[in-house]
Amino acid sequence: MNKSEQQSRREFIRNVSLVTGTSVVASSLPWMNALANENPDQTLSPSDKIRLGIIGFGSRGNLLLLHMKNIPSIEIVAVCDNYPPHFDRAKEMTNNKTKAFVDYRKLLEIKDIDAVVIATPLNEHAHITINALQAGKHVFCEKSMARIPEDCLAMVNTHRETGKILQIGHQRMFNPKYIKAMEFIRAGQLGNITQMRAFWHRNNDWRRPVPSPELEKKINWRLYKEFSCGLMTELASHQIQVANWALGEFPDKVMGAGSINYWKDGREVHDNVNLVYTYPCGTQLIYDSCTSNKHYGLEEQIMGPKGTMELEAGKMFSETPPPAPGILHLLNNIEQKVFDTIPLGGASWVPDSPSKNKGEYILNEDLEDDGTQLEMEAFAYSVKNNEIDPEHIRQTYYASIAALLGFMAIEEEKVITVPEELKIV
Amino acid sequence: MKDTIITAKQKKRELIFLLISFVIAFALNVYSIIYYNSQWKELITTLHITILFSIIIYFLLVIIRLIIRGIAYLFKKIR
Repeated sequence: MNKSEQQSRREFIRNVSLVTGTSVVASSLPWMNALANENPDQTLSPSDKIRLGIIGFGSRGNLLLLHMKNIPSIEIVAVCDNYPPHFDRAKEMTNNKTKAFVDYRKLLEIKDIDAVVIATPLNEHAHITINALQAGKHVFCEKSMARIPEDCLAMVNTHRETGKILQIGHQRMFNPKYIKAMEFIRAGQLGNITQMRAFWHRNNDWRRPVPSPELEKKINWRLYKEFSCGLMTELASHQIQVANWALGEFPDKVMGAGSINYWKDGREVHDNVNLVYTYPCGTQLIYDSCTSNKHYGLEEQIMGPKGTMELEAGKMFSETPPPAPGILHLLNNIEQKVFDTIPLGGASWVPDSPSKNKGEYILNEDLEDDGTQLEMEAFAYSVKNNEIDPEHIRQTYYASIAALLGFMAIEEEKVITVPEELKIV
Repeated sequence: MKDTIITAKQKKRELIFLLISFVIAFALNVYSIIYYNSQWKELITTLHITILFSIIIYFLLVIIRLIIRGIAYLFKKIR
């Protein structure tokens, strides 16, 4: 990284510190102060750097590498992918300076690798993570945790047994906008949360081009049940994590329905899902996702008697917004009396039209980072200082479990309760 | 061609009408603050609305005055 890149990175972190406020930084982003005060002229010694390997070099692995290149305390020493085009790209993007492997076990054999980043298809997360933790490596693994709940639990247990860091790629947990929103929620700005809705709507087939038919499942693994739970593990898990975080609880029941009603192209996973999660306090999360209409995009809506938050938009809407200035109020009333329709009969009720309140931004600045850069900074900091945040693993574990149980509820067409044996403290 | 002359007296009269319009708008602002129980600082923070409103009142007065003058002119012609 050159000096100007270092400077802009430091400015970025400082800006985050400034816009989020010190209380948030202290409680949620403890590494940020240390990073913001880093001396850009100081050259890190090899012992200050963490040596890292990347396993899985698809689109996400690629993106994570770009973020990691901005972090001076990370040195990429090895890459691994068993798909030749990705393997070549991994070597190319690291300027052929790293060791490259087709088998991840060879990478884990390298003694002086401190940590690995796992960005493989979902069904491979569990065994690679467990092997890496057992090999004494800290692990950053992309979400969701695993294809089946038992594997998620095994990952957590191995993390706890080995004492090695296990961080799961839920970048919203590191997004300052979300952290600030959670601070407002904890301060009671919405009142008790009574209703949550989340959705993720796209209008595309989610397919990637396949050079030859035998590679279909390797490339389009998201579409096949053997490898993925489709919308639930790839999209919903992010938003369920946000809902859990906002409520401060984890769901104990889920019911749902889904189908393939548009992309009838041989895929096995649903192209639309609709679920209701119930939390111990009685609050529900209503979730839906589809791939045949993008009009509503994605959003997480958190509602309470005092207000609403739309977290993707980064906005908060009070139920009792400050009144308009008196003069405008007066002019509006005059206008309404003069121009409004005069009812001569009919219904005596007023329709519950949506509020026209435009809301306020949770953060006034757009930081142009969805949290991915900061989550990688956090991982580097945690590895360097051997600091484990137990709450992180609980949050990410239950997000994965909820996504997987949601998929099971759709498949089995029944209400699923979280089994006692899957609960962790 | 005859020059159009705006006399000092006319200017003074128009300024008085503008002032009256502003006083009406300001008074309405005071009334609305009391009626809707809003904040007194709105006398300052909504000054731009008051000024805009006073201009609207001024033009309404202009229209009313033109109508009155037109009617008066018609009466004068009939006699």
